[in-house]
Amino acid sequence: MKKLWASAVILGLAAGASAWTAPAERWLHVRVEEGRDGGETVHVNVPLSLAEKVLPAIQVDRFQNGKVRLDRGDMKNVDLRAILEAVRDTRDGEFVTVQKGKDDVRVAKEKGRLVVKVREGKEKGGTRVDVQVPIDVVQALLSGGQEELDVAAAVRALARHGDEVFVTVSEEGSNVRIWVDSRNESE
Amino acid sequence: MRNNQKGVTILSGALGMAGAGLVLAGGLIYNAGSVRVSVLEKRPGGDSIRLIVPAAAVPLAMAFVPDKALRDVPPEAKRILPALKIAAEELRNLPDGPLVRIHGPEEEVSVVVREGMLAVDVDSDDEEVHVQIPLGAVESVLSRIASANQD
Repeated sequence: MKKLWASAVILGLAAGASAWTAPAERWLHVRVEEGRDGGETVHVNVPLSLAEKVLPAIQVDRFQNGKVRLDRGDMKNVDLRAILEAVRDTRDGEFVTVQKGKDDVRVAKEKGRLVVKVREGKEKGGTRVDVQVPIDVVQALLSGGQEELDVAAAVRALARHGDEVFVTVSEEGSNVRIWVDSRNESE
Repeated sequence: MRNNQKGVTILSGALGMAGAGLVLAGGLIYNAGSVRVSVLEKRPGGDSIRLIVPAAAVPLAMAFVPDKALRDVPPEAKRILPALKIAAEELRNLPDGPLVRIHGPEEEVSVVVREGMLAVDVDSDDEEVHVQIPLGAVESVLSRIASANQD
């Protein structure tokens, strides 16, 4: 009887330990809400593990093996890698600040994140864009060849982060929000 | 044992075996679920189609579809077949929940994983479409199409 109890306790502990160590599924959520009357709302929930496995299998036009090949025109005279490395190696601070009339643009590095804030028109209804992406995710995105973005690597890097909102855009009552958390529903 | 008694015993044994086989087959079919398709056109006198097919019959039916017919897939679709196959495999590991929900002025669309099924519901001004496919059936269909399109 003692052996039975001991086995049950060991099994229970093992089950508890595996439940404790099993990483929770991470979900990428995209929500788009059109502000106008009768506007469309779109909610997409994708587990990052699914995206990680599916993206390398897609071979369509410029999207191959989880990487997007950039047009030479897109990258003309811009060395994205050099810019990123400079951003990564530099301390927190503001890189770009533009204030023109009612518009503000700010690009900065804050706590290991690349932060972009755009405000067009100060009044309500103006465009507001907030992007904050961990530097390692940006780095992963640029880890492929010179003229490609490694989306699959970026998704893998994304999965290592906690619950976080990466993009919010609001314009004339319409909203876009992109975030990652452990829930499989965005409501 | 008299001959007629022996015959009755063999017959009842055979019937018993057949009954057990039917119960087993029924259980397997029940376990595999069914593919349900329902299309309702909203215009007056519009068509209404309801189709329920045991999912267990899907791989069997696919085996009879000639390769030539399965190769007649648009090139764009061919290129994403491996990705769709992986997606179908991965969807089986997901908890129930919505993948896509679109709520618009002209139509509502939802793609949901529910109890091992992929459920697609479309409600537009013109028609209402509901499709429920066991994920195992999705996998077997995609595998068959992929194997027919292997170069």
